Amino acid sequence: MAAENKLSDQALPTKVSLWAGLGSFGRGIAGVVVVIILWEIICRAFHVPEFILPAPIAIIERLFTEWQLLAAHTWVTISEMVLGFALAVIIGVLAAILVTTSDRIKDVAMPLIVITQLIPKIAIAPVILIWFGYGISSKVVIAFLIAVFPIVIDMATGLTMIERELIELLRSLGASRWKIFMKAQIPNSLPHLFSGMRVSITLAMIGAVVGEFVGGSEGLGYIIVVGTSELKTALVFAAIFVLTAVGFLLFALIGWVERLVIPWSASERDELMKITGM
Amino acid sequence: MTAVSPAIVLRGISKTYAAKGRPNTLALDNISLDIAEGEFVALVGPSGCGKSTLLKLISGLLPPSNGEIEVFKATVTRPLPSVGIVFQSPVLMKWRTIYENVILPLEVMGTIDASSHDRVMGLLELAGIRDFAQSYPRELSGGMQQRAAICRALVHNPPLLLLDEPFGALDAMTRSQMNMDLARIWAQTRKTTVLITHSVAEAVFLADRVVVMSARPGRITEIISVEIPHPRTVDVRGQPKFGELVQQIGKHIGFEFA
Repeated sequence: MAAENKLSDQALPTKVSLWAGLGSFGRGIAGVVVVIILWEIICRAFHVPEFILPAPIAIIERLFTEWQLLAAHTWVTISEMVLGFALAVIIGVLAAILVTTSDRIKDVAMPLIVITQLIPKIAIAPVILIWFGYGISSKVVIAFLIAVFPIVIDMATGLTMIERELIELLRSLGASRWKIFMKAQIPNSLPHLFSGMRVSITLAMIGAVVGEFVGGSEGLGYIIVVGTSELKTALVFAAIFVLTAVGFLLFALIGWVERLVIPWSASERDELMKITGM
Repeated sequence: MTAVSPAIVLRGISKTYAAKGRPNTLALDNISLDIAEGEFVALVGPSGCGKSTLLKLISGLLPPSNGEIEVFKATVTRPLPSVGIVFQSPVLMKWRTIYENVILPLEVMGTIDASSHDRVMGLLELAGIRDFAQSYPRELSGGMQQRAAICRALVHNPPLLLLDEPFGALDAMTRSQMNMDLARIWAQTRKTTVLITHSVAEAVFLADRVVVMSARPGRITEIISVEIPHPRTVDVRGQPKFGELVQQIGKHIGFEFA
């Protein structure tokens, strides 16, 4: 208690210490709360029609009244995202391994990968719907196409950005190429892979929603399109809210898996979190 | 040094690097040197004199362009597991604990047995980092990481130790401490050792012979014997002989420094 008193004696004026007491996370939450309150006030004060900008309370209301509809469509979008993302990770990792293992494959494959990336996915989304139908598979393909690039690039970086001396050390011990790959390159690539996955999962969401915009009868993207055409703007905002929450949860899930799989990389990840404000 | 069979024989070694679009670079020119078993040799010389190249040739990581290298009477044609290498940076695997890093050579060579654990712990003890066996590299200071790297170089009990500026990245105080510790570890293991360093004082403090090399192309310009008995302790630095040798070698390199 004595120590505490001493601290508060030295403390700056109360206002400042309350602000400091919130911590960086608390301050972030405080900022969000202030924006939401301002939003509510503006909607009420200026009598903004709900179909133009629904107030936060109206959106929350819609979340509760339409939860069954939202839940069913959320499930569809999550499935598309996760499947597209999983494909992106599997194929992206394999592509990165191939590209970094053989210069010949690299010479052939790299231009193809880059061109594929440069094609605007939104532009070819309608074609993909023609090829893969209006069901879930076309959305999975679009999500995959958008999400795969950062995986390939980050994984390839992780496989090759390795201290030359470490490879020399392993070679001097008589390690085979396979052993060098398994003992040095793969573990070295994991932090890079996880940072690629964090970018990739948000891109997979964009891919899935774009696919739903273009055509189909399911998913939160579909709800947004139909809701907009019927001027059910509060429902649209509720769907956007759910999408954001899903994106946030999947992003956090990757961080959690990363902490489990590569605890040794914790400090680097924390640095990144500081930068991105997560 | 008593006359014992040479551990390393270099005969007329040259190394040329071929680079695209540029004339070939002669990194090493006609290097001949015998290093006795159990001897500690330091290579000093200006940057770019091919010291590191020479170490890679001895370890078999690079083939010479000309000349012949024998290690323990066998011509070197491929990377030798019989050497322990320490680089300027610790080159630890950041995903492995210190213990797992040190045991790596045994793991790669497939020679882990019942005694391996004690061997690793004994080396960590010798290097004064036993308490950090289960820590990750990032939790250790640069000096402690380099100690771990030295343990890793010794764990498979290689008859040959190659040190490529192992203390170059450390601050002066840590470096001086590491010199004492290396002298102590070397006195206990007595391995044939080749040390590359930019510090003449470090070379004189540790080595039986100091080999001075010229700038590119690297040639041996002088070999100086350091007749100070082992084990060497901190007192050695205060001896007049130590100072004289450091000055003498410094002059050979072409600049004054102690």
